[in-house]
Amino acid sequence: MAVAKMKLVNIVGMLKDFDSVVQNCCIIGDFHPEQSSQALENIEGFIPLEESNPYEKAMQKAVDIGVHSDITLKYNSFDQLEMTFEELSTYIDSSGNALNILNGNVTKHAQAAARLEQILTQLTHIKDFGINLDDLFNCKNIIFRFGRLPKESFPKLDIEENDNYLFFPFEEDNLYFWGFYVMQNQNSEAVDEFFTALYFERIDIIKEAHGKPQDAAETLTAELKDIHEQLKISSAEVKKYWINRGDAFLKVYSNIRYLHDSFEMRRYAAKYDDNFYVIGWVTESDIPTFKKRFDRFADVDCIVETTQETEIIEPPTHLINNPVSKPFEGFVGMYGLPSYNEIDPTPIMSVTYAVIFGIMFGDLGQGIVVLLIALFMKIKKKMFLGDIMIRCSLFSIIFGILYNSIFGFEDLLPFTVLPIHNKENINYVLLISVGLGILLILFCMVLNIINGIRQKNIEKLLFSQNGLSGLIFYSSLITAVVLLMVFNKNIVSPLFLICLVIIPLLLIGLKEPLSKICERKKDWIPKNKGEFFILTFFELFEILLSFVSNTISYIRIGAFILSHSAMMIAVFTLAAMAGHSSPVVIVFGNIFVIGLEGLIVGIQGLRLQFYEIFSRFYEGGGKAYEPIKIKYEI
Amino acid sequence: MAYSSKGSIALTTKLRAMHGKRLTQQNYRDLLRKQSVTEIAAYLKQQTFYSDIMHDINENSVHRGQLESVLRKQLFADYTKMLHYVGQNEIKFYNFFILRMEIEEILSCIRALNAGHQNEYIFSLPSYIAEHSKFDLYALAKVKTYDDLLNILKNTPFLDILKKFDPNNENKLDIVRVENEFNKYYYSFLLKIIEQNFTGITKERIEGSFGIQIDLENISQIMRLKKYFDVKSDYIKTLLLPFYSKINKNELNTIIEAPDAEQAMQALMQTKYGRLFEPYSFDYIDKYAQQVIYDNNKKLLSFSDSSAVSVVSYLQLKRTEINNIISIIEGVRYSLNPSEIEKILTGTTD
Repeated sequence: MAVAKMKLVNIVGMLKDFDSVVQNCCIIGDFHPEQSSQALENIEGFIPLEESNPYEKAMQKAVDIGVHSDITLKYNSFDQLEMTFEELSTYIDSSGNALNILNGNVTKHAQAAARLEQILTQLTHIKDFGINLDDLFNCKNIIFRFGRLPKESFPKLDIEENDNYLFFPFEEDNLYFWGFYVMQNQNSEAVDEFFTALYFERIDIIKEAHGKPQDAAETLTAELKDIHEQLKISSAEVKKYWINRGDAFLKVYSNIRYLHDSFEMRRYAAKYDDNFYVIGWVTESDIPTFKKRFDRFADVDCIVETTQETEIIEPPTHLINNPVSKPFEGFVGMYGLPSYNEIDPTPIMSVTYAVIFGIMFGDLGQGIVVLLIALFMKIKKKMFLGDIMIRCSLFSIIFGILYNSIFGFEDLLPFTVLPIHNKENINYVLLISVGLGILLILFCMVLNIINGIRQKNIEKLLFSQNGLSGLIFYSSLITAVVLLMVFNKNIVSPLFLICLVIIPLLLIGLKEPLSKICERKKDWIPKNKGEFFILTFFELFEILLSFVSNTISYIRIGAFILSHSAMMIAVFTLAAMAGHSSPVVIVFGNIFVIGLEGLIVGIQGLRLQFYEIFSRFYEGGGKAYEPIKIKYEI
Repeated sequence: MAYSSKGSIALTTKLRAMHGKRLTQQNYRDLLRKQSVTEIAAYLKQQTFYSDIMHDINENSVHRGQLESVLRKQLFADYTKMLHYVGQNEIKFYNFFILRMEIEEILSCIRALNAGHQNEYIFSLPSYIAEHSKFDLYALAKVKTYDDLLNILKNTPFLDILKKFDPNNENKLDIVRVENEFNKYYYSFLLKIIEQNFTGITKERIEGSFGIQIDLENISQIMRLKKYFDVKSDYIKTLLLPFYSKINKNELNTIIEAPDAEQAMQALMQTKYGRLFEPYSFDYIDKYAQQVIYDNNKKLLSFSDSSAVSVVSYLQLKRTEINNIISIIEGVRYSLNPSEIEKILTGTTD
């Protein structure tokens, strides 16, 4: 239920064993490597293991083939596969070649089909010419070229100011003019070049089309059918290739990926003569299993360091939470991972967020609907939000029972534990929300103090507005206000004011110099005293303001309780107006409220969590735990 | 402030919707492994939102140049789509896009003239901007000498810029200096328009967006000159854009006056941009400059509520995407490995 304890592990051994050590011990998925150069900063003789990956080309080729053929690359067990790397590489090469040939066939047929289609299109445009095509193309002195010209290029025809050619568009679509150009025999090359440069797509009709356009069209339509058949066959060949060889290909790919990625471990290692050195983190609970793997290697040592020696490198944050709180790691990750010596806020958030959501969105029926939606999200769509909503909806249901609210009906249950719908209780609802907020703020301050103890941070612990001084200041002031307003008892005496209000406030203001004194630093006197005091004054002002605003901010919990019931009242009013409490309106009203209120409450709850709660004790800024593992998918 | 807030929010929303249709990491991964222009065209037509403009293209016979031209036209089409949402009183700012295109075309024409290939310029001329440009775009294609060019640009502000240059004894214009002058004109015009039409946070953001571009162009220019060419500091200074955003003149001078490329790099590390370039090496300064601009624009598009900022960011992102596709087409044509092509792309990993 926390940030797991990590242990720094040093692995030293002979270079000859490096690959098998990596493959048998390190890439299982519980080892988070660090750059050895960081740890060995000051030690001479260690040089990084920089070698270019010999498996790179083969792996890239395999990936290229996979992506090009639209195959999902994934893991396929290669335990049975006993091929040397040369054999694997050759396999990939030959696969590539075979596929090239097969794909080449497909392309050839596709292109032939496209050509015929183009010709047929051209022919439809000139089918009304009564001319024989052969006559047209056998002219001695002029040459015809049929095709289409991008509309873009059309204005450019006028620029060249010569009469070597004439272009006749006889039809247009969005981007092209379909037509032909005529030119004299002697200029043909230059004019052809000119039109090609303007992206004229020449459709060489005469190779395939003869006689009258109508007849030619018929012949070609039959030919086209043939080509389509051939295209189908060659596409099927490609598919067949993959059906037969897909499995084997994935095995070969997985093997190459395995070799490639485990070689990449060299990036983290260093060597000294013919020894290698690797350093990384392992979760404390995994240490025994981890160490055991090294038993088979006589010449390799695996040394676990104690914490004192690990201050140079920051440990990664490995969150281990029970299944109830685990989904909230997603939210915490959004804000920032806990640093290694911070309290993991995930279990705290799992309670505060879900309960606050339940309070603001308390309705038995609507809670059940949200539960069903959340289950769908979790099971079908595998969204982590689904898990979170399940927990929130459970509290929604609980509070729905307590409020006696089922789909907005407020009188279905015989008892009402928390009468929030009663108009006389509005003030109480709001005040209790603020009260809840005050308790949460105090709780957060305590958490901050604990963090301060863990991190040995005097300023955080004693002098900051969320430390002991802040705690005393805030709690005294709140106690005084509450006693005054509720019980009409005034405990505010000069002594009270000075000890519990003024002095803590001063301590907060002077937190920087004070903490420097405690840490026995020489330069605790601020250089520019005037500037210091002005800044301190404004900072204190801001701190006071933020205390007030954060406290009042919790009133939104009460506000949303009330707005939820107000929205349901509006729905019922509309239903009554629609005639006899129309059930249709009530159903749609509920759907609308679930959607709108649900979304708003979710977001507002998150805001309260991130801004009012986290900002008081949580910093984030931790390093993610990324154990090295082979990733077969791309 | 000179714009109606209603139009502005609608436009920003529309731009974000349009941006949602961009190529994904998966699309890039697939495109990189296509083996011919035909396959790329077919993929774009069938599996991306380019299917609309590719509808009539025959992927089996489309020429590489034509495909490029169609893609670039898409950028312009997006731009005109946006103009529908812009009021008459804001239109002056949005002209920046047309101005940029005009400048690009003039420079292309000059390059063609320099190379003696003026006859070939006509083929790459984008007809779709012809009706928007201040001068007769088609006339650029008929240009045979520099004087012809000056004649065409007679009633435009470009004349004053070009008049300063004469062809040298090889009858070529110094394209590097010309390009630099045009860039200076472009950015000073732009910054003036921004000054006149926007205030407050919006002005800051738009200036910042172009400012980062200017800074990074300057930095790339300096680093490139220092690493690959042996030139004096004074010459470098003439080639810079005289505007400073997150890097001030002194910092830039320190980099320029560093004795060699390594020390220039170290001086760069001391600036605000240093942090962003830290893990990278010289060879890819341009690419990483592009990446920084890309990331910044992405952020601005997501968070801005000003339409002008969103338009600038969107167009930049779209232009990057189209340049990526064109790079892939060329890479495939020259049979480069996918991993090699990927190195010159920007913003493909999100």
